[in-house]
Amino acid sequence: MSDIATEQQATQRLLSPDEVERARGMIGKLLDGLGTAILGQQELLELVTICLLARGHMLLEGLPGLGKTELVKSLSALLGLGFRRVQFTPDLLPGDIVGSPILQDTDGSRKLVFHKGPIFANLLLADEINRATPKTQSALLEAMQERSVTVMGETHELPRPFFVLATQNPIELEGTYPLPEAQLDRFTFKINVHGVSSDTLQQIISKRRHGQPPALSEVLSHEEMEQLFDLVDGVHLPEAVANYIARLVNATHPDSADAPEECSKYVRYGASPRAAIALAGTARAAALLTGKPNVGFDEVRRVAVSVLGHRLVLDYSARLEGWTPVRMVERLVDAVPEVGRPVPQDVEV
Amino acid sequence: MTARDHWIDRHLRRLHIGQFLQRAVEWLTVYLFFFGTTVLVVKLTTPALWPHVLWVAVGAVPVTLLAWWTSRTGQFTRGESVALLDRSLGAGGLLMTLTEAPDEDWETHLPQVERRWRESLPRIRPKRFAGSLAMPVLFTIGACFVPLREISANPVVKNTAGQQATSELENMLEALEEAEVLDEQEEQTLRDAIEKLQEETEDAPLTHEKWETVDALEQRMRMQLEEASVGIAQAAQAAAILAKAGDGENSELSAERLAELEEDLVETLRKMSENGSLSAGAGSLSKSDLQRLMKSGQLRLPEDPEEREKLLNELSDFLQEEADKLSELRSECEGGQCENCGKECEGGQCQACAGNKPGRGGISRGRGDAEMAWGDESDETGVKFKETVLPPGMQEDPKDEVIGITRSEPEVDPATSVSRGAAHANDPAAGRETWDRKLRPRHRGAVRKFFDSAKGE
Repeated sequence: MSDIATEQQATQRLLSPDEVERARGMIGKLLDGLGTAILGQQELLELVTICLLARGHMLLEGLPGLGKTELVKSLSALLGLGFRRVQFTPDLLPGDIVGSPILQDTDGSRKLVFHKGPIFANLLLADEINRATPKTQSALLEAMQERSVTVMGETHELPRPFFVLATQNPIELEGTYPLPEAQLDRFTFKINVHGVSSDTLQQIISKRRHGQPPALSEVLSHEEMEQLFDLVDGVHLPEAVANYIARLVNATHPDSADAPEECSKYVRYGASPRAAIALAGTARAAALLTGKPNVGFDEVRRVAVSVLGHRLVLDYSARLEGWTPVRMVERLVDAVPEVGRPVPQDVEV
Repeated sequence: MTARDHWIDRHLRRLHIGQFLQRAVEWLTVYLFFFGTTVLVVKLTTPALWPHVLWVAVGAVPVTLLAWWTSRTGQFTRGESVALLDRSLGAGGLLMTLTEAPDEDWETHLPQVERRWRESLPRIRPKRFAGSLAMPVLFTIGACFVPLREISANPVVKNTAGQQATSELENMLEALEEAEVLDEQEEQTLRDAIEKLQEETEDAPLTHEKWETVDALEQRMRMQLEEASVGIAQAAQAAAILAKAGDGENSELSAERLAELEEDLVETLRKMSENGSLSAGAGSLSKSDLQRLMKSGQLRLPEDPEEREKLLNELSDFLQEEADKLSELRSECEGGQCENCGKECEGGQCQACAGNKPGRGGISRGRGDAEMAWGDESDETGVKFKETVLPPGMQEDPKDEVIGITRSEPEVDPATSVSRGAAHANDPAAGRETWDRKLRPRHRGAVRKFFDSAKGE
């Protein structure tokens, strides 16, 4: 561990205050733009931005009419990214998403030509993803992880950057197909979209005709996006924080010695190493969002619920006792100390 | 060394002190309870070791050193210390970052006021340390003040009853020897019997057969003493009568009676001579006078009446003294008083209390307030209990009698008349209805049990 740290020290330099300030300015422009489209959801907007900066996919869960789709559309407008929307339905086929080969008659000869599907975009909105069959849902697996699709033995690269922003409705579950664990694990964040306050509702009613948001223009160019991604990668992750992330993810496993009692009792399967990677990446983005050149414990705690919540598989008894994944992650964050060694009782830190 | 390193070192040092204090509390608590318990045990069981046991307190020094040594094994690393200091400072990870990747531009973003660094150092809690040790220290001090237990004045001696009984017999035999009551053969027989009894009761308990032997020997010695005492007293009386009778001519007694008295006197003197009672003479009479007097087994009294009377009176006095001595021996009690009632002793035992002394009631060893004489424990080997078949229950068969008459047919309770399976099927809570019922919180135990059993399979 210390060798790795030494190597990291030698190769990595800290972002300069100017770089951090520049990044903060760019992020601020994006947040301001989103704020004009989506009112009264500052925390949601910051989480979405963090997920995008970490180059992660996002699953938005909330009741209809809360602005999930509008949020994604606003993002694509502000970032100037290619945007496609797919409304997932039970009869949707994988070919409808990734594309399919079509027999074409060219100069008297017939050959199969691959026609790209809507997945070939920078920003894919998979609306009501849980209404499609598992077969169709699985079409996104390779795309989300490898950022490429393979059709009839041919692999096609997806445009960079590539984000999948999916939405799902927590009610009306009749005729839906819950996302399998493998699919869920590929979403960096799962964000629960909650309702807004009455003041915000009043603003929406009084300032917008038919609730339509104002037209948004591009605030970040593609190059600026790439620069932001590089700056996020340059955020320093201290050894102690990395250790904290590792212990936090390890504590989600019921067999782990670090797991609190409730976790051992109610969690059936814990989070994967992919979760730890996502936690570190999004914590970096969160640090840059707050204008820091490094990750602290607070950033890890901030993104823990969004990263780990959908990755925990709880036991049936957890439902009986009223434990939800979010509550379990909050318990884990409380239970796992920042430093792996208990502070002696004879000193007051 | 930068100022940041200086504060980190101080922080780390305080953490190490805290770890040492915590380990010291754990070890010293155990040690002090051990020490206090040792002191208590010594004071209550082996007081001779007090106050040497206090030297065990020196062990606190190696225990403290051991605590220091063991606290070093799991010490905080510098990185962990930096993480804790970073949190205390509210640096948001910048201190950790700068420790790993120093950067002058960001160095100024750390707190620059010394007071903030000082306040972020961990504070040692001596009160907590002292409070944790208070209980074991009080226990130890309390143990030191517990008074020493006094050793029992009467140590338990194995088989005391047997030893005491044989000792009493031996004392009695010695008293009889001093009084020269027993002849050599009888004395030897009694001594052998007592020695044998002593050997037997040395390790083995005093059984009822041995109690009988003790009683028989005691009785035998008492009879010897009584016989000798009565004989000498009679001889003294005979001598006195003979002295009064003079030469026999003026006596009121017949010649045959006088001859009998003389014979008794001679016989007693002979026995006394055989026992050695007359080896030093008899009163004012020398040994040669007595030999002359009892020449050829007959009483050779002087012809002169005055001389004869004087001789017989001296003999009577001597015999009376001997009789008194033996009588006194027979009535020996502690302080001349009965130990039970406190009255004056009469004879071998206090006559008033002879029948009331516990433990002297014969074969059964007396009544309830007698001192207990413990023997070997009995075991249950070979003990058989007789098996008894209990009589059959009285309510097994119903009584063949009319218990009541009703005008109509008796009402039948369907719950008792219908078979159990059918009743269960008619119950609205059975079957599908039960299965379809919503799960309530109070049923969660049953649900859990069902799923857990399925999981186990």
